[in-house]
Amino acid sequence: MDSSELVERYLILLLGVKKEPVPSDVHLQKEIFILSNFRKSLLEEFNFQKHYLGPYSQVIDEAVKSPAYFSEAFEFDGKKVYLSGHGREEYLKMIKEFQKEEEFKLILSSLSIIRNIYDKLSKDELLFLVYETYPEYTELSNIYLRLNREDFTRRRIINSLLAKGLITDERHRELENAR
Amino acid sequence: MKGTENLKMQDKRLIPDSTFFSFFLHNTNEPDSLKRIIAEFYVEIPPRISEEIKNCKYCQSIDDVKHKLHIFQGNLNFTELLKPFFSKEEKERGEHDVIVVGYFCHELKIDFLMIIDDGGARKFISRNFPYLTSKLDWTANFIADCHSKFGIFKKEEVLDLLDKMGKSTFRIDKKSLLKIVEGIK
Repeated sequence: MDSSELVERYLILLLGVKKEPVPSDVHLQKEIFILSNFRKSLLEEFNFQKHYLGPYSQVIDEAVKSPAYFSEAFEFDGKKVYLSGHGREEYLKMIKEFQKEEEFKLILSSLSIIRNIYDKLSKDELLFLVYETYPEYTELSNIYLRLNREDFTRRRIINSLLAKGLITDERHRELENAR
Repeated sequence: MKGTENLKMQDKRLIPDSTFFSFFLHNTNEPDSLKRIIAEFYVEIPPRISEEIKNCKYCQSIDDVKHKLHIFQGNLNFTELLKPFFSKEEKERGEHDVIVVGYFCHELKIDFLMIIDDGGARKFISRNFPYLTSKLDWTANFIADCHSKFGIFKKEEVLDLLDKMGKSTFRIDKKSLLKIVEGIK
């Protein structure tokens, strides 16, 4: 399997593991980034770079817009990203083919936990947490500057994360004291 | 005491946090009691928890049963999945790894029980994965269940362990402990 096919298969799995679309292209990028940190060999495949929106993979962008292997598998309505009918068929095919393989099951579970929690974040919350957790990717990010320029913006995001129950009290204190 | 329920327990994954191991191997010196629990369950040890066990005073006392512990190794880095949501100290304690392994068991339809004593991690589960709360227990309560539910310890042994817990540096609310003790008596 070549690199492009692998990338498209992972995107199909991420989008297919839940019926709902991924909330935005930023979510798609960051959720695959988290997956790649879980399975380090993927970091090379997706080739994440420092970008004004944090870690960014051009490979993902190109695969969604013009897939080489699974043509018309992906839909992007300018906001949300989801599988087309054809993409859904490919997802089900993969499940059927690999469902007994131990590592495949673990990857599928990891995608499920990623979708179930990272989908709940707003774009700003997601970017903020990714920047705080992986500061090496903030270098070229003007969004990072926007989110941190004013204490008010930073505090609003941190408090919203706590109110939604998405960060623990300890993490909340850590983020509050981080500046 | 060992009936059919005990046979089924071998299929149940036990996913304890580091405080559970600390109780037997650091706050008290009770490796034999821990070994009796390990003998009855399939114990999952996420990487961070494994590191924390090594810091326990009496960790070498369980070397002879280490082969019974399922310590995660390999190319999958469990710690990364929930990393952004927990503080540095929480990540060092490894509760977020326990949650990930519990979630995986849930997805794979494997029977399991997580033991987490930290309030922050427990709250995180109830807010984000409420369907996992029925699979969540405290160390003290689990020890009580080792008599009443699993038949591993006799009543007197459990009372002795909980008495040692109350007198040790193990962090537990004394009222909750007393309630558990009264429930056993």
